[in-house]
Amino acid sequence: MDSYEKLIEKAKNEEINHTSKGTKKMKSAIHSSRWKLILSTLTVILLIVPTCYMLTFGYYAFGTKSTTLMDVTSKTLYITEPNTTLEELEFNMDFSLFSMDLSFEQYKQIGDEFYPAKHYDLYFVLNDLVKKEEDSKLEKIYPGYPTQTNQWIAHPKQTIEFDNVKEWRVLEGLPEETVVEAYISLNNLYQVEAVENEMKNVDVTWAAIYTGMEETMLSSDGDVVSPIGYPVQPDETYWSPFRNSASHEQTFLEMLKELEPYESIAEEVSIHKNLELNERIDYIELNGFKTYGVVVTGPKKEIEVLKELDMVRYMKVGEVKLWNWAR
Amino acid sequence: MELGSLKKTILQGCGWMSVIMGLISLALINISLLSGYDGSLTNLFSFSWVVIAVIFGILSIFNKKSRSLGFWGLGLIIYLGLFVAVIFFLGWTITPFP
Repeated sequence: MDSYEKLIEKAKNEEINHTSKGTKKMKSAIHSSRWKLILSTLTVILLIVPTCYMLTFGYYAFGTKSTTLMDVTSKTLYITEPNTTLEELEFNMDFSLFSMDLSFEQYKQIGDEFYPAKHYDLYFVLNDLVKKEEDSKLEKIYPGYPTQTNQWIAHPKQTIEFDNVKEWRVLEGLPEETVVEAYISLNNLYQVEAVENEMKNVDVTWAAIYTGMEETMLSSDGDVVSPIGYPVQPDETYWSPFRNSASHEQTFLEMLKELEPYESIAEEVSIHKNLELNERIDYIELNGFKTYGVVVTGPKKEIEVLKELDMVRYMKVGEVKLWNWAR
Repeated sequence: MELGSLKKTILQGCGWMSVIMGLISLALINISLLSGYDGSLTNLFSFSWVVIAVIFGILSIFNKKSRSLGFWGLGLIIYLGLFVAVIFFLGWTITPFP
């Protein structure tokens, strides 16, 4: 082999080596790019859920606040559900993607003690209530679908669906060692204080306030409305909107005003589908606070005595418990 | 293997490790959020895990070939830090109970 052929052979070998190295490099680059593509896709996928969680938390912190939803819920129940109260530490909040689950316990005063009445489970998607579950522990269930005449507290000009005579007989038949919750309809409009003075031996727990539409239970638009009112007894629970309230009437009016911007949420939360807050606030501001019915609780014997009062028109027996009246 | 090539390979390995460790942490957070497991997020990936991922990320930045991997890994860790901070502070704001 002469020197020329050697040179050609060497060049050929170098060419082969060079091509082999290039192929190896190219394969390595393709392999690396493939993994980069897989992992970058995975990164984008894995960022979706945590980012949505941060947006959810941001919404409930700066948009419609979770605390606002909780306040609207509790205030709505205070004014629409007679003789009920809530406990702050019984509230439970769970957040998931763009939604919030609010669950809490509701209590009723029967006699001298508070008993669990209902467990609520409300599921909000952003600020829209999409699911509402109630687990009632009550024996007497308040009408869930209000009509003009099925309320337990009726205006003096309104008729009732329950048998008033039968209710008094039921009360009479209860053992002496029981405490009773009773829904009393009055024969006229009274100041709450006047009713309390007349019913000294029992606790007046809740007063239904006349808002100009209770004769027919229809708003000016023709929608069926339900009684609204406020708790009468002093409430020192840290959570309660009536804590340290100088006037429960004024606190009630303030609550109505606070609820007004969130009326649609309040109507979803409440069993009463039409609150007509604007119309009712205007009436109360113009005419003041007068009650046409109250919820009372106390010993069976003391509730029976109320039958003798001129102001009492109808009575509906609510919950009954064994004696706990320690006064 | 030449020293330069070895160094390049090691730094690239660090970059990949940083990205993979970040992705594992992110995957654990996803599992935690989707399953509704209410454990503390910090238990899922320990502090030392994050520190190692950060060190790998920083090391890989020094080489031009592995720099993108390093930034990627560090980006994931920074995102995780931001996530924990946002969830902690906003969670404290939106849940008014002790």
